[in-house]
Amino acid sequence: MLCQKCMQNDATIHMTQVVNHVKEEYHLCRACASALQNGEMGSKSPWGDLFEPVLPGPSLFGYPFSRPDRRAAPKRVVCPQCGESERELRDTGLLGCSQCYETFLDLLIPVFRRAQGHTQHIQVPDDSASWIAITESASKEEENKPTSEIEQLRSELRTAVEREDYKEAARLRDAIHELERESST
Amino acid sequence: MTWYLQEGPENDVVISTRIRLARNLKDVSFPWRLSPVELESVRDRVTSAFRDVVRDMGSERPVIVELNTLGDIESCALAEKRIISRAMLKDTRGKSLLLYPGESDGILVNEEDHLRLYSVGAGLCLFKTAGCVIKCAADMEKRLSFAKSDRLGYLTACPTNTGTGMRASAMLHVPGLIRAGVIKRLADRLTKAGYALRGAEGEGSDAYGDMIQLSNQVTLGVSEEQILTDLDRFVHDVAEEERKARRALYENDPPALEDEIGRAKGKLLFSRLMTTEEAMRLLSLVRLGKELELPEMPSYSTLQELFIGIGEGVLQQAAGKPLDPRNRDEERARRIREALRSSM
Repeated sequence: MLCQKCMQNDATIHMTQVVNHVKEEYHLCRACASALQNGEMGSKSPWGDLFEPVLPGPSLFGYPFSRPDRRAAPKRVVCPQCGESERELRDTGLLGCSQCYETFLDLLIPVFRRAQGHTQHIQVPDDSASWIAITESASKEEENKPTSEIEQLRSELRTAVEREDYKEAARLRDAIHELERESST
Repeated sequence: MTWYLQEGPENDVVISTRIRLARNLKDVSFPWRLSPVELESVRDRVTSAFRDVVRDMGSERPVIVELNTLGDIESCALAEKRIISRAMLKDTRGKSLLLYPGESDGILVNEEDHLRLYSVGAGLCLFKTAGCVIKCAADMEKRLSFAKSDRLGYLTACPTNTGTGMRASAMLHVPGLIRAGVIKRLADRLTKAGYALRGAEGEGSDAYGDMIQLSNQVTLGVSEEQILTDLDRFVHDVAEEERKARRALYENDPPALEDEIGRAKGKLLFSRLMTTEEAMRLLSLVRLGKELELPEMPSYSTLQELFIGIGEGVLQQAAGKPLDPRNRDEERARRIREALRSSM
Protein backbone atom coordinates (compact mmCIF):
# COMPACT_ATOMS: atom_id res chain seq x y z
CA MET A 1 0.00 0.00 0.00
CA LEU A 2 1.27 3.48 -0.82
CA CYS A 3 1.59 6.24 1.76
CA GLN A 4 -1.54 8.38 1.68
CA LYS A 5 0.46 11.55 2.12
CA CYS A 6 3.32 11.37 -0.39
CA MET A 7 1.78 8.68 -2.61
CA GLN A 8 5.33 7.46 -3.31
CA ASN A 9 6.72 5.27 -0.52
CA ASP A 10 5.16 2.15 0.96
CA ALA A 11 2.92 2.79 3.95
CA THR A 12 4.46 1.04 6.95
CA ILE A 13 2.70 2.91 9.74
CA HIS A 14 -1.01 2.47 10.28
CA MET A 15 -3.06 4.66 12.59
CA THR A 16 -6.69 4.82 13.61
CA GLN A 17 -8.41 7.76 15.19
CA VAL A 18 -11.97 8.33 16.29
CA VAL A 19 -13.48 11.81 15.98
CA ASN A 20 -17.14 12.39 16.84
CA HIS A 21 -17.71 8.61 16.80
CA VAL A 22 -16.36 8.40 13.26
CA LYS A 23 -13.43 6.02 12.86
CA GLU A 24 -10.75 7.10 10.43
CA GLU A 25 -7.68 5.14 9.33
CA TYR A 26 -4.40 6.54 8.10
CA HIS A 27 -1.61 4.71 6.28
CA LEU A 28 1.70 6.55 6.09
CA CYS A 29 5.36 5.90 5.25
CA ARG A 30 7.94 6.31 8.01
CA ALA A 31 9.13 9.73 6.72
CA CYS A 32 5.64 11.23 6.52
CA ALA A 33 4.61 9.79 9.87
CA SER A 34 7.65 11.25 11.62
CA ALA A 35 7.17 14.60 9.86
CA LEU A 36 3.63 14.55 11.16
CA GLN A 37 4.80 13.74 14.66
CA ASN A 38 7.31 16.60 14.56
CA GLY A 39 4.61 18.98 13.46
CA GLU A 40 6.30 19.66 10.11
CA MET A 41 3.13 19.17 8.11
CA GLY A 42 1.68 22.54 8.90
CA SER A 43 -1.57 23.60 7.41
CA LYS A 44 -1.35 25.53 4.16
CA SER A 45 -5.04 26.16 3.98
CA PRO A 46 -6.32 28.77 6.43
CA TRP A 47 -9.06 26.38 7.52
CA GLY A 48 -6.87 23.32 7.87
CA ASP A 49 -6.09 23.48 11.55
CA LEU A 50 -9.66 24.40 12.44
CA PHE A 51 -11.01 21.12 11.31
CA GLU A 52 -8.06 18.79 11.83
CA PRO A 53 -7.89 18.97 15.60
CA VAL A 54 -6.24 15.58 16.08
CA LEU A 55 -4.27 14.76 13.00
CA PRO A 56 -3.18 17.86 11.11
CA GLY A 57 -3.12 17.69 7.33
CA PRO A 58 -2.31 20.12 4.55
CA SER A 59 -5.96 21.17 4.28
CA LEU A 60 -9.51 20.14 4.99
CA PHE A 61 -8.81 17.46 2.46
CA GLY A 62 -5.56 16.49 4.16
CA TYR A 63 -6.03 12.75 4.13
CA PRO A 64 -8.30 10.30 2.41
CA PHE A 65 -10.94 9.11 4.81
CA SER A 66 -11.25 5.54 3.70
CA ARG A 67 -8.74 2.78 3.19
CA PRO A 68 -7.47 2.85 -0.39
CA ASP A 69 -7.67 -0.34 -2.44
CA ARG A 70 -4.38 -2.20 -1.95
CA ARG A 71 -4.07 -3.28 -5.55
CA ALA A 72 -5.30 -0.18 -7.31
CA ALA A 73 -2.76 2.36 -8.50
CA PRO A 74 -3.38 5.77 -6.86
CA LYS A 75 -6.21 7.43 -8.73
CA ARG A 76 -5.27 10.67 -10.44
CA VAL A 77 -8.63 12.41 -10.50
CA VAL A 78 -8.64 15.66 -12.45
CA CYS A 79 -11.60 17.98 -12.94
CA PRO A 80 -12.57 17.88 -16.66
CA GLN A 81 -13.65 21.53 -16.61
CA CYS A 82 -10.89 23.43 -14.82
CA GLY A 83 -8.11 20.83 -14.62
CA GLU A 84 -7.74 20.90 -10.83
CA SER A 85 -6.14 17.70 -9.53
CA GLU A 86 -6.92 15.87 -6.33
CA ARG A 87 -3.47 16.81 -5.08
CA GLU A 88 -4.13 20.54 -5.65
CA LEU A 89 -7.43 20.23 -3.84
CA ARG A 90 -5.75 18.60 -0.85
CA ASP A 91 -2.99 21.23 -0.81
CA THR A 92 -5.10 24.36 -1.19
CA GLY A 93 -8.40 23.27 0.34
CA LEU A 94 -10.08 25.18 -2.50
CA LEU A 95 -12.26 23.89 -5.34
CA GLY A 96 -11.42 25.16 -8.81
CA CYS A 97 -14.88 25.50 -10.34
CA SER A 98 -18.49 24.39 -9.87
CA GLN A 99 -17.80 21.16 -11.82
CA CYS A 100 -15.22 20.24 -9.13
CA TYR A 101 -18.14 19.68 -6.75
CA GLU A 102 -19.22 16.74 -8.89
CA THR A 103 -15.73 15.55 -9.73
CA PHE A 104 -14.63 15.39 -6.09
CA LEU A 105 -18.00 14.71 -4.45
CA ASP A 106 -16.79 11.53 -2.69
CA LEU A 107 -13.97 13.49 -1.13
CA LEU A 108 -16.22 16.40 -0.21
CA ILE A 109 -18.96 14.55 1.63
CA PRO A 110 -16.81 13.63 4.67
CA VAL A 111 -15.39 17.16 4.70
CA PHE A 112 -18.91 18.61 4.78
CA ARG A 113 -19.87 16.15 7.48
CA ARG A 114 -17.00 17.24 9.68
CA ALA A 115 -16.81 20.97 8.93
CA GLN A 116 -20.50 21.70 8.45
CA GLY A 117 -22.30 18.84 10.17
CA HIS A 118 -24.56 18.53 7.11
CA THR A 119 -24.20 17.25 3.54
CA GLN A 120 -27.32 18.71 2.00
CA HIS A 121 -28.46 22.26 1.37
CA ILE A 122 -31.85 23.39 2.64
CA GLN A 123 -33.90 24.61 -0.30
CA VAL A 124 -35.28 28.11 -0.08
CA PRO A 125 -37.74 29.68 -2.53
CA ASP A 126 -35.97 30.49 -5.76
CA ASP A 127 -37.07 34.10 -6.16
CA SER A 128 -35.93 34.93 -2.59
CA ALA A 129 -39.01 37.19 -2.32
CA SER A 130 -40.33 35.37 0.75
CA TRP A 131 -36.90 35.65 2.32
CA ILE A 132 -36.91 39.38 1.84
CA ALA A 133 -40.37 39.51 3.44
CA ILE A 134 -39.06 37.58 6.47
CA THR A 135 -36.09 39.89 6.97
CA GLU A 136 -38.27 42.95 6.53
CA SER A 137 -40.74 41.94 9.22
CA ALA A 138 -37.93 40.80 11.55
CA SER A 139 -35.98 44.00 11.05
CA LYS A 140 -39.06 46.04 11.96
CA GLU A 141 -39.15 44.09 15.20
CA GLU A 142 -35.46 44.83 15.74
CA GLU A 143 -36.21 48.53 15.46
CA ASN A 144 -39.45 48.64 17.43
CA LYS A 145 -38.67 46.47 20.43
CA PRO A 146 -40.94 47.59 23.29
CA THR A 147 -38.98 49.80 25.62
CA SER A 148 -38.67 48.41 29.11
CA GLU A 149 -38.63 50.57 32.22
CA ILE A 150 -34.86 50.32 32.32
CA GLU A 151 -34.48 51.47 28.72
CA GLN A 152 -36.87 54.34 29.40
CA LEU A 153 -34.68 55.41 32.34
CA ARG A 154 -31.55 55.09 30.19
CA SER A 155 -33.09 57.37 27.61
CA GLU A 156 -34.03 59.91 30.31
CA LEU A 157 -30.47 59.67 31.63
CA ARG A 158 -29.05 60.52 28.21
CA THR A 159 -31.30 63.57 28.01
CA ALA A 160 -30.31 64.65 31.52
CA VAL A 161 -26.60 64.36 30.67
CA GLU A 162 -27.11 66.29 27.47
CA ARG A 163 -28.68 69.22 29.33
CA GLU A 164 -25.91 68.90 31.97
CA ASP A 165 -28.36 68.19 34.79
CA TYR A 166 -25.95 65.98 36.71
CA LYS A 167 -28.06 65.82 39.86
CA GLU A 168 -30.93 64.30 37.91
CA ALA A 169 -28.45 62.10 35.99
CA ALA A 170 -27.04 60.71 39.23
CA ARG A 171 -30.55 59.95 40.50
CA LEU A 172 -31.45 58.17 37.26
CA ARG A 173 -28.18 56.23 37.25
CA ASP A 174 -28.85 54.95 40.76
CA ALA A 175 -32.40 53.99 39.76
CA ILE A 176 -31.03 52.06 36.77
CA HIS A 177 -28.45 50.26 38.90
CA GLU A 178 -31.18 49.38 41.38
CA LEU A 179 -33.35 47.86 38.63
CA GLU A 180 -30.36 45.99 37.21
CA ARG A 181 -29.58 44.56 40.64
CA GLU A 182 -33.17 43.40 40.95
CA SER A 183 -33.16 41.77 37.54
CA SER A 184 -29.92 39.91 38.23
CA THR A 185 -31.06 38.43 41.53
CA MET B 1 -24.81 57.57 5.81
CA THR B 2 -22.02 55.22 6.69
CA TRP B 3 -22.75 52.82 9.57
CA TYR B 4 -20.24 54.08 12.10
CA LEU B 5 -21.78 57.56 12.23
CA GLN B 6 -25.06 56.03 13.39
CA GLU B 7 -26.24 54.39 16.59
CA GLY B 8 -28.08 51.07 16.57
CA PRO B 9 -29.90 48.52 18.75
CA GLU B 10 -27.89 47.08 21.69
CA ASN B 11 -25.20 49.67 21.01
CA ASP B 12 -24.00 49.47 24.61
CA VAL B 13 -22.39 46.12 23.72
CA VAL B 14 -22.79 45.53 19.99
CA ILE B 15 -20.75 47.87 17.80
CA SER B 16 -21.76 46.59 14.39
CA THR B 17 -23.36 43.81 12.39
CA ARG B 18 -21.99 42.53 9.11
CA ILE B 19 -23.37 39.98 6.68
CA ARG B 20 -21.71 38.72 3.55
CA LEU B 21 -22.86 36.37 0.84
CA ALA B 22 -20.45 34.47 -1.41
CA ARG B 23 -21.58 33.94 -5.01
CA ASN B 24 -19.85 32.71 -8.16
CA LEU B 25 -20.64 32.95 -11.85
CA LYS B 26 -21.83 29.76 -13.47
CA ASP B 27 -19.43 28.24 -16.04
CA VAL B 28 -16.39 30.26 -14.97
CA SER B 29 -13.62 28.80 -12.77
CA PHE B 30 -13.25 30.31 -9.30
CA PRO B 31 -10.89 33.33 -9.08
CA TRP B 32 -7.76 31.49 -7.89
CA ARG B 33 -7.84 29.33 -11.08
CA LEU B 34 -8.12 32.32 -13.44
CA SER B 35 -5.50 34.23 -15.43
CA PRO B 36 -5.35 38.03 -15.07
CA VAL B 37 -7.21 38.43 -18.37
CA GLU B 38 -9.97 36.06 -17.26
CA LEU B 39 -10.22 37.87 -13.91
CA GLU B 40 -10.69 41.15 -15.75
CA SER B 41 -13.44 39.62 -17.86
CA VAL B 42 -15.29 38.48 -14.69
CA ARG B 43 -14.79 41.92 -13.18
CA ASP B 44 -16.27 43.60 -16.27
CA ARG B 45 -19.33 41.31 -16.31
CA VAL B 46 -20.03 41.89 -12.63
CA THR B 47 -19.42 45.65 -12.88
CA SER B 48 -21.76 45.98 -15.84
CA ALA B 49 -24.56 44.12 -14.00
CA PHE B 50 -23.92 46.30 -10.94
CA ARG B 51 -24.25 49.50 -12.98
CA ASP B 52 -27.62 48.29 -14.28
CA VAL B 53 -28.83 47.45 -10.77
CA VAL B 54 -27.86 50.83 -9.37
CA ARG B 55 -29.37 52.65 -12.36
CA ASP B 56 -32.66 50.77 -11.87
CA MET B 57 -32.64 51.79 -8.21
CA GLY B 58 -32.73 55.36 -9.55
CA SER B 59 -29.77 55.99 -7.35
CA GLU B 60 -26.79 58.27 -7.47
CA ARG B 61 -23.74 57.12 -9.39
CA PRO B 62 -22.17 54.05 -7.79
CA VAL B 63 -18.56 54.05 -6.67
CA ILE B 64 -16.37 51.57 -8.53
CA VAL B 65 -12.85 51.10 -7.22
CA GLU B 66 -10.30 48.98 -9.05
CA LEU B 67 -7.93 47.84 -6.35
CA ASN B 68 -4.82 47.86 -8.55
CA THR B 69 -5.25 51.60 -9.10
CA LEU B 70 -5.20 52.39 -5.37
CA GLY B 71 -2.23 53.83 -3.53
CA ASP B 72 -0.95 52.35 -0.26
CA ILE B 73 -2.79 54.88 1.91
CA GLU B 74 -6.19 54.33 0.27
CA SER B 75 -5.79 50.54 0.40
CA CYS B 76 -4.78 50.67 4.04
CA ALA B 77 -7.78 52.91 4.84
CA LEU B 78 -10.20 50.47 3.17
CA ALA B 79 -8.73 47.62 5.22
CA GLU B 80 -9.02 49.64 8.44
CA LYS B 81 -12.67 50.32 7.67
CA ARG B 82 -12.96 46.52 7.24
CA ILE B 83 -14.32 46.96 3.73
CA ILE B 84 -11.58 44.81 2.24
CA SER B 85 -9.30 42.24 3.86
CA ARG B 86 -5.56 42.79 4.02
CA ALA B 87 -5.15 39.44 2.24
CA MET B 88 -6.99 40.90 -0.74
CA LEU B 89 -4.25 43.52 -1.14
CA LYS B 90 -1.48 40.96 -1.74
CA ASP B 91 -2.50 40.54 -5.36
CA THR B 92 -4.91 43.17 -6.64
CA ARG B 93 -5.09 42.21 -10.33
CA GLY B 94 -8.67 42.03 -11.57
CA LYS B 95 -10.05 42.79 -8.11
CA SER B 96 -12.49 45.58 -7.51
CA LEU B 97 -14.84 47.04 -4.99
CA LEU B 98 -18.33 48.13 -5.98
CA LEU B 99 -20.00 50.39 -3.45
CA TYR B 100 -23.69 51.08 -3.26
CA PRO B 101 -24.45 54.69 -2.30
CA GLY B 102 -23.82 55.16 1.43
CA GLU B 103 -20.68 53.00 1.87
CA SER B 104 -22.50 50.45 4.03
CA ASP B 105 -23.26 47.92 1.27
CA GLY B 106 -20.97 46.71 -1.45
CA ILE B 107 -19.56 43.89 -3.54
CA LEU B 108 -15.97 42.68 -3.53
CA VAL B 109 -15.14 41.21 -6.91
CA ASN B 110 -12.62 38.37 -7.38
CA GLU B 111 -11.66 37.83 -3.78
CA GLU B 112 -11.89 34.10 -2.93
CA ASP B 113 -15.19 34.02 -4.83
CA HIS B 114 -16.31 36.04 -7.86
CA LEU B 115 -18.70 38.08 -5.72
CA ARG B 116 -18.68 38.74 -2.03
CA LEU B 117 -21.71 40.89 -1.33
CA TYR B 118 -21.72 42.55 2.07
CA SER B 119 -23.72 44.91 4.21
CA VAL B 120 -22.78 46.54 7.52
CA GLY B 121 -25.05 48.18 10.09
CA ALA B 122 -24.61 49.90 13.47
CA GLY B 123 -25.49 47.91 16.60
CA LEU B 124 -27.24 44.55 16.44
CA CYS B 125 -29.37 44.47 13.28
CA LEU B 126 -28.86 41.03 11.73
CA PHE B 127 -32.19 40.82 9.95
CA LYS B 128 -32.15 44.35 8.60
CA THR B 129 -28.57 43.94 7.32
CA ALA B 130 -29.36 40.52 5.86
CA GLY B 131 -32.39 42.01 4.13
CA CYS B 132 -30.13 44.58 2.41
CA VAL B 133 -27.51 42.11 1.23
CA ILE B 134 -30.04 39.47 0.12
CA LYS B 135 -31.87 42.06 -1.92
CA CYS B 136 -28.57 43.14 -3.54
CA ALA B 137 -27.80 39.48 -4.35
CA ALA B 138 -31.28 38.88 -5.77
CA ASP B 139 -30.96 41.97 -8.00
CA MET B 140 -27.58 40.77 -9.28
CA GLU B 141 -28.93 37.25 -9.85
CA LYS B 142 -31.55 38.66 -12.23
CA ARG B 143 -28.68 39.72 -14.46
CA LEU B 144 -26.02 37.06 -13.81
CA SER B 145 -26.28 33.26 -13.53
CA PHE B 146 -24.78 32.04 -10.27
CA ALA B 147 -23.20 28.62 -9.71
CA LYS B 148 -25.53 26.50 -7.58
CA SER B 149 -26.84 22.98 -7.32
CA ASP B 150 -30.03 21.50 -5.89
CA ARG B 151 -28.10 19.35 -3.45
CA LEU B 152 -25.47 21.84 -2.25
CA GLY B 153 -26.95 25.29 -2.81
CA TYR B 154 -24.55 28.07 -3.82
CA LEU B 155 -21.14 26.70 -4.83
CA THR B 156 -18.09 28.49 -3.47
CA ALA B 157 -14.33 28.10 -3.75
CA CYS B 158 -13.98 26.96 -0.14
CA PRO B 159 -16.29 24.21 1.13
CA THR B 160 -16.70 26.08 4.41
CA ASN B 161 -18.96 28.57 2.56
CA THR B 162 -20.99 26.18 0.41
CA GLY B 163 -24.78 26.25 0.74
CA THR B 164 -26.01 29.67 1.78
CA GLY B 165 -22.62 31.34 1.25
CA MET B 166 -23.61 33.42 4.24
CA ARG B 167 -21.31 34.62 7.00
CA ALA B 168 -23.14 36.72 9.57
CA SER B 169 -21.12 38.42 12.27
CA ALA B 170 -21.49 40.88 15.10
CA MET B 171 -18.69 42.96 16.59
CA LEU B 172 -18.97 43.29 20.37
CA HIS B 173 -17.24 45.47 22.94
CA VAL B 174 -16.65 43.19 25.93
CA PRO B 175 -14.22 44.76 28.44
CA GLY B 176 -16.18 43.15 31.31
CA LEU B 177 -15.88 39.60 29.99
CA ILE B 178 -12.21 40.07 29.09
CA ARG B 179 -11.33 41.31 32.58
CA ALA B 180 -13.36 38.48 34.10
CA GLY B 181 -11.24 36.05 32.03
CA VAL B 182 -14.18 34.11 30.64
CA ILE B 183 -13.68 34.59 26.90
CA LYS B 184 -12.08 31.18 26.36
CA ARG B 185 -14.96 29.39 28.09
CA LEU B 186 -17.44 31.38 26.02
CA ALA B 187 -15.56 30.61 22.80
CA ASP B 188 -15.62 26.87 23.58
CA ARG B 189 -19.36 26.96 24.22
CA LEU B 190 -20.02 28.77 20.94
CA THR B 191 -17.74 26.50 18.90
CA LYS B 192 -19.75 23.48 20.03
CA ALA B 193 -22.89 25.14 18.66
CA GLY B 194 -21.28 25.87 15.27
CA TYR B 195 -20.49 29.52 15.94
CA ALA B 196 -17.10 31.18 16.32
CA LEU B 197 -15.71 33.87 18.58
CA ARG B 198 -12.60 35.69 17.41
CA GLY B 199 -10.55 38.82 18.01
CA ALA B 200 -11.67 41.91 16.15
CA GLU B 201 -9.18 41.55 13.31
CA GLY B 202 -10.47 38.12 12.39
CA GLU B 203 -8.87 34.73 12.55
CA GLY B 204 -6.17 34.22 15.15
CA SER B 205 -6.14 37.79 16.39
CA ASP B 206 -6.38 39.07 19.92
CA ALA B 207 -9.30 41.09 21.19
CA TYR B 208 -7.99 44.48 20.01
CA GLY B 209 -9.65 47.35 21.91
CA ASP B 210 -11.63 44.74 23.91
CA MET B 211 -13.58 43.85 20.77
CA ILE B 212 -14.59 40.39 19.65
CA GLN B 213 -16.45 39.03 16.65
CA LEU B 214 -19.19 36.42 16.84
CA SER B 215 -20.05 34.62 13.59
CA ASN B 216 -21.64 31.50 12.16
CA GLN B 217 -19.43 28.67 10.93
CA VAL B 218 -22.03 26.43 9.36
CA THR B 219 -23.37 27.47 5.95
CA LEU B 220 -24.73 24.15 4.66
CA GLY B 221 -27.90 22.40 5.77
CA VAL B 222 -29.24 25.39 7.69
CA SER B 223 -31.43 28.13 6.32
CA GLU B 224 -30.36 31.76 6.34
CA GLU B 225 -33.21 32.50 8.72
CA GLN B 226 -32.01 29.84 11.16
CA ILE B 227 -28.41 31.16 11.04
CA LEU B 228 -29.61 34.66 11.87
CA THR B 229 -32.08 33.59 14.55
CA ASP B 230 -29.45 31.49 16.36
CA LEU B 231 -26.73 34.12 16.07
CA ASP B 232 -29.14 36.79 17.31
CA ARG B 233 -29.85 34.68 20.38
CA PHE B 234 -26.16 34.06 21.06
CA VAL B 235 -25.32 37.73 20.71
CA HIS B 236 -28.09 38.65 23.14
CA ASP B 237 -26.80 36.03 25.61
CA VAL B 238 -23.20 37.27 25.37
CA ALA B 239 -24.38 40.89 25.64
CA GLU B 240 -26.32 40.07 28.80
CA GLU B 241 -23.28 38.32 30.31
CA GLU B 242 -21.13 41.32 29.41
CA ARG B 243 -23.57 43.70 31.13
CA LYS B 244 -23.47 41.59 34.27
CA ALA B 245 -19.67 41.43 34.17
CA ARG B 246 -19.45 45.21 33.81
CA ARG B 247 -21.83 45.77 36.64
CA ALA B 248 -19.84 43.43 38.88
CA LEU B 249 -16.62 45.16 37.86
CA TYR B 250 -18.08 48.56 38.67
CA GLU B 251 -19.72 47.59 41.94
CA ASN B 252 -16.59 45.91 43.18
CA ASP B 253 -14.93 49.33 43.54
CA PRO B 254 -16.76 52.26 41.87
CA PRO B 255 -14.16 54.98 42.58
CA ALA B 256 -11.35 52.80 41.24
CA LEU B 257 -13.06 52.15 37.91
CA GLU B 258 -14.30 55.74 37.63
CA ASP B 259 -10.73 56.88 38.28
CA GLU B 260 -9.32 54.58 35.60
CA ILE B 261 -11.89 55.76 33.07
CA GLY B 262 -11.46 59.40 34.07
CA ARG B 263 -7.70 59.19 33.63
CA ALA B 264 -8.15 57.56 30.22
CA LYS B 265 -10.43 60.41 29.19
CA GLY B 266 -7.95 62.94 30.51
CA LYS B 267 -5.13 61.43 28.47
CA LEU B 268 -7.27 61.39 25.34
CA LEU B 269 -8.30 65.02 25.90
CA PHE B 270 -4.84 66.41 26.58
CA SER B 271 -2.17 64.22 24.95
CA ARG B 272 -0.09 65.57 22.09
CA LEU B 273 1.27 62.22 20.84
CA MET B 274 -0.69 58.99 20.75
CA THR B 275 0.08 55.57 19.23
CA THR B 276 -2.74 53.42 17.81
CA GLU B 277 -2.34 50.82 20.57
CA GLU B 278 -2.57 53.37 23.36
CA ALA B 279 -5.51 55.12 21.70
CA MET B 280 -7.42 51.84 21.31
CA ARG B 281 -6.85 50.93 24.95
CA LEU B 282 -7.95 54.36 26.22
CA LEU B 283 -10.92 54.64 23.86
CA SER B 284 -12.08 51.23 25.02
CA LEU B 285 -12.04 52.48 28.63
CA VAL B 286 -13.96 55.64 27.73
CA ARG B 287 -16.48 53.54 25.82
CA LEU B 288 -16.88 51.46 28.98
CA GLY B 289 -17.60 54.73 30.82
CA LYS B 290 -20.28 55.57 28.26
CA GLU B 291 -21.71 52.06 28.55
CA LEU B 292 -21.86 52.39 32.34
CA GLU B 293 -23.63 55.70 31.81
CA LEU B 294 -21.08 57.74 33.70
CA PRO B 295 -21.60 61.47 33.13
CA GLU B 296 -19.80 63.51 30.48
CA MET B 297 -18.94 60.74 28.07
CA PRO B 298 -18.79 61.11 24.26
CA SER B 299 -21.52 59.62 22.03
CA TYR B 300 -21.27 56.08 20.62
CA SER B 301 -21.03 57.45 17.09
CA THR B 302 -18.04 59.65 18.06
CA LEU B 303 -16.32 56.67 19.67
CA GLN B 304 -17.05 54.47 16.66
CA GLU B 305 -15.74 57.08 14.28
CA LEU B 306 -12.56 57.37 16.34
CA PHE B 307 -12.05 53.58 16.56
CA ILE B 308 -11.91 53.63 12.76
CA GLY B 309 -10.47 57.10 12.25
CA ILE B 310 -7.21 56.58 14.16
CA GLY B 311 -5.81 53.88 11.86
CA GLU B 312 -2.74 54.98 9.95
CA GLY B 313 -4.45 54.70 6.54
CA VAL B 314 -7.62 56.63 7.42
CA LEU B 315 -5.52 59.20 9.28
CA GLN B 316 -3.24 59.87 6.32
CA GLN B 317 -6.15 59.87 3.91
CA ALA B 318 -7.90 62.54 6.00
CA ALA B 319 -4.68 64.56 6.20
CA GLY B 320 -4.38 64.30 2.42
CA LYS B 321 -0.68 63.41 2.56
CA PRO B 322 1.69 60.68 3.76
CA LEU B 323 2.84 61.16 7.37
CA ASP B 324 5.81 59.57 9.12
CA PRO B 325 5.10 57.61 12.33
CA ARG B 326 5.75 60.55 14.65
CA ASN B 327 3.57 62.88 12.63
CA ARG B 328 0.88 60.23 12.63
CA ASP B 329 0.99 60.04 16.44
CA GLU B 330 0.66 63.81 16.57
CA GLU B 331 -2.19 63.91 14.06
CA ARG B 332 -3.96 61.04 15.86
CA ALA B 333 -3.77 62.86 19.20
CA ARG B 334 -5.11 66.03 17.57
CA ARG B 335 -8.08 64.27 15.95
CA ILE B 336 -8.99 62.52 19.18
CA ARG B 337 -8.84 65.77 21.20
CA GLU B 338 -11.02 67.61 18.70
CA ALA B 339 -13.58 64.84 18.31
CA LEU B 340 -13.98 64.35 22.07
CA ARG B 341 -14.24 68.07 22.81
CA SER B 342 -16.95 68.59 20.22
CA SER B 343 -18.88 65.55 21.43
CA MET B 344 -19.02 66.28 25.16
